[in-house]
Amino acid sequence: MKIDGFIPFARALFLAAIVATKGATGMADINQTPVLEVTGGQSPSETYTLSVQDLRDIAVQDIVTSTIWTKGVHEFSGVPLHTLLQHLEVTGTTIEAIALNDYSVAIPLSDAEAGGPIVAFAIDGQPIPRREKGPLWIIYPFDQSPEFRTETIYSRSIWQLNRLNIVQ
Amino acid sequence: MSRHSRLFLFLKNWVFLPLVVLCLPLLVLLGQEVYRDLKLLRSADIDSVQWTLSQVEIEYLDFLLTLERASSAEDHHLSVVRKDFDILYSRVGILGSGMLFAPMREIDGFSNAVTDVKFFLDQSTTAIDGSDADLQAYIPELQKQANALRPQIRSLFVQGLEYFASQSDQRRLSIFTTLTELAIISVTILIALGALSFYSMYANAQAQTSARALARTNAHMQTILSTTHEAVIVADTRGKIVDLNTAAETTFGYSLAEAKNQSIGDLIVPPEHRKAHAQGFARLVKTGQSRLVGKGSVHLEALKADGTRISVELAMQSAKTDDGEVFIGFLRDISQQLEVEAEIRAARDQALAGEQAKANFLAVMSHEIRTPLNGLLGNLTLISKTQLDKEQAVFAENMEISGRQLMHHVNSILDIAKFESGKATVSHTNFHLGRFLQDIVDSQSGHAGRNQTSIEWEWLGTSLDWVNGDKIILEQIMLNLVGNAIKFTHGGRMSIEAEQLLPPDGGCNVEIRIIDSGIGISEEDQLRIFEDFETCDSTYTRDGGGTGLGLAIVKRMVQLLGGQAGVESTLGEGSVFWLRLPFLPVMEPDESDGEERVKPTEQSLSILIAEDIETNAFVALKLLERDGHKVTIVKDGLSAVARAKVEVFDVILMDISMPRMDGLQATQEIRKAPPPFCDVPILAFSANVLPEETDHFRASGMDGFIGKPLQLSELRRALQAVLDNTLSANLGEEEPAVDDMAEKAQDVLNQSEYDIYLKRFIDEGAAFMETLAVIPLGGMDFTEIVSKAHQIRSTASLFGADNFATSLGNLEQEAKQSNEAACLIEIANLSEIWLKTRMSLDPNYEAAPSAE
Repeated sequence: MKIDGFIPFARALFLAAIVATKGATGMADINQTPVLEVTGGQSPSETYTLSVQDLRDIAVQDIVTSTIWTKGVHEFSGVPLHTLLQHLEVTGTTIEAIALNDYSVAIPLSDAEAGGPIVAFAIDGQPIPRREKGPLWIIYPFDQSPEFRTETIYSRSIWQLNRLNIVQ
Repeated sequence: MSRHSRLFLFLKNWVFLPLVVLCLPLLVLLGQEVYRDLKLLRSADIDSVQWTLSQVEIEYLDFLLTLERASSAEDHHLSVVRKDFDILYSRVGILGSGMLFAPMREIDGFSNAVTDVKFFLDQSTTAIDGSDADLQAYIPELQKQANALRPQIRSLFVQGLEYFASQSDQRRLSIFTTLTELAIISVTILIALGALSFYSMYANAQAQTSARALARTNAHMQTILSTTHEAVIVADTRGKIVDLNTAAETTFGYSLAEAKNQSIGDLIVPPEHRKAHAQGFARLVKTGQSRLVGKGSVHLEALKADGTRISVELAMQSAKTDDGEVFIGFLRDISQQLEVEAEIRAARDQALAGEQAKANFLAVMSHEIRTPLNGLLGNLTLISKTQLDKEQAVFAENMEISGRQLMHHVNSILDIAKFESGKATVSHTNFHLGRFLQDIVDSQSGHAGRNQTSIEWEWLGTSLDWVNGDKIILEQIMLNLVGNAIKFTHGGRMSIEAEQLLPPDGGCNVEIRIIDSGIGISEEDQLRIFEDFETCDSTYTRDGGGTGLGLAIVKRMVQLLGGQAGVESTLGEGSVFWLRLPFLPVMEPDESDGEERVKPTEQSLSILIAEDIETNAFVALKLLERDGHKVTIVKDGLSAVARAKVEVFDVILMDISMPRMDGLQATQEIRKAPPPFCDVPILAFSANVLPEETDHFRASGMDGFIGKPLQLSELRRALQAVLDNTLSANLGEEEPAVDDMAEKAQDVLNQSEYDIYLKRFIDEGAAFMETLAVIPLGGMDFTEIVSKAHQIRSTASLFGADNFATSLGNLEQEAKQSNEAACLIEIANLSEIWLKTRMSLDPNYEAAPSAE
């Protein structure tokens, strides 16, 4: 257990070092970097490219929860999925969410509602690095209800998200 | 249904309950377990884990592939290297710290593999995050190191899969076990529920049966309660009426609706009893004890709705019901019954008072009539001895005849009254029946001769000579019947026949027939002549001059003796009156013993006589002195004691009733004196001869008993016993004094002494009779009468006034029992006897011719 305890601590120190070195020059850059591509919807040809800042501008909501993939409880901040879709004025039946590793999962549009999942871009107030399943992570309020602690929901909770394709 | 079977059913019903109660929590627990298992299945993260594990390998291989490409020096591949490194890093991060893999990290092999991979990744970050050139240069090293991790990556996958396979197995087994248990418990509960419902059905059927029985009983009870005439009121513990039946509605005038929930006290208890009722009810409720509950019935007064009061009989019972204890009162309106009872009681009291009044009236009447009548007859006799002319003599004789008839009637009524009051008693003596009949014939022959009728008597068959029976009553019967026969027989023949009845008829062993050849009695008359106030016809009555009571008295006297009487007669030829009587045959008494005079004792004795009545004392003194004894006389008990303490007497004759101190007390005092004074023999000297009295004498220390009037033979015998020292054996065993043996004052006293004492006796008797004649009982109380009668009686015998003495004795007895009516009857009798006695004793009176 000493090792278990030591490693996250070492990693945290390490990450902190990175952020500190890059922070002064690259914070704005990181936020401005396009992180999400949205395709499909009413006009299939149109593609939205969104940075973290874009997402942050739409709306920010926090979900405090534990996950099966992490240790302990964390505060996740992100734009609610339904707000995002409303904002982009896209309609459809299913959202095809795709990750960096090309993992994809179908999220029914019905999931996108108030109190539902957010597209998280920060954990405990810090941007989520790619190496820690960032920069975007679809987070459901797992702790809030057993409804959210099913295999299906776990599978929809996609990390290293970078594309959303709205299927009519 | 009985309590027992209900209990039984209750047990049967509930015996399954514990089973169900035990099973239910088990079922709930198991249900929860199943639910949890199902939920686990539903939210199972096994797939996710497997996916993750497989992705680790895929992403590792991707990373290796990317490194391969990068090693062929194509720049743009460096960003892919970085991306794939991050992806792998993210993935392994989950294994290292994700909750999902926490249980797996407990396995050493898995944990070590993760640590190794993590170590590689963390070491590589510097290079990955470094410049492209550095990274490019480092690629071969990364390739080498990454390749070296292949066994660890493999191990992660394999161990993870093994773990989750066993986890799945365990979980399946657990679910299987849970479901099996669930099934067993469910089946058990089903069986229990099945049994329970079976018994429920059974119990239900039983309950229905008992409910029907209960309904029937209720219907019966309802019928009984609504038809009974007894008012039934049910009250609760607050005294409020719960229910009442039709009879109660009728009795008290309240309908059930009006009475319900009203206080029983306010409704039917009279205001003055309400407080007591409330207290009683409170005590009843508090302690469960009441003077009324279960104690039979009591009589109370109750109030009706219209304010009238009725008498009720109340019986109370308490009963336990589902609504608590109730009190049931059964009330019956007994007002009418009480009225009727009161009427009957009044009627009875009236009847009794009437009877008493009748007896008193008869007694007083005969007394009030006979006393002046005697005076009248006496004076009539005196008149007829004076110089009368012929006509006056006839008038006087007629008056005397009428007077005697009147006296006879009054006496008859008195006799009836005596029998009616049950005062007539039988006294048995031994007598010779033949001589008795001869005496009757002798006494009546002169009478019969005047009617030119002959009279004779004879035994038919064997004679019965000496018998035991009431000679006096028999004499009255015979005189009555013979008198009747003489009256109605003129110039005829009369005979008396006596015959022994063999065998005896109902205890009667002798039949006596009085036969005459007179005018006879018709058959209709024969049926009623023994009834009260019945006579045959007017001529007969006039001729015979009867009251119609003679035969009625005969009938009563015969009944008193335990016999029967009857008549057979033919009109114009004659009559036969017959008597059947019981006589106890007795041995002929030894007459020589009676004849022989007891000789005076040879030795002279010193004798003390304690006697308050001077005449008695004087007669005794004379008798004893004649026999040569030395006699001392004292007049009361106190003097006797004083004398006996200073002088030794050979014997003391002690009267019982004396002034200052009676004989009994005096005896006790003398017995307390020092010897030799206490040893003197003491003889009671009394007219009281009843056995209980003589017992009393002996108890007081007396040695013997001498009856009054004094008999010389008895006195001599007693004195001889004193000398022979055989006294105690004789006490009370002597036969009571026979009158004609009693010593007469005449024989003892000289003429002048006799005259003095006779005058004294006559004056005393006259004074007593005068007092009695003026007002009933002479204004004396019974005690006075007893003492006065006793005093006069003791001297009466000395002067041969035996009938007077007997009558005084009777009066004394009746007065002792405070029997006023009987006293009055006896007084009437006494005054008649006194008149005769006085005439026979008083020479001046004697000068006037006797009324008889």
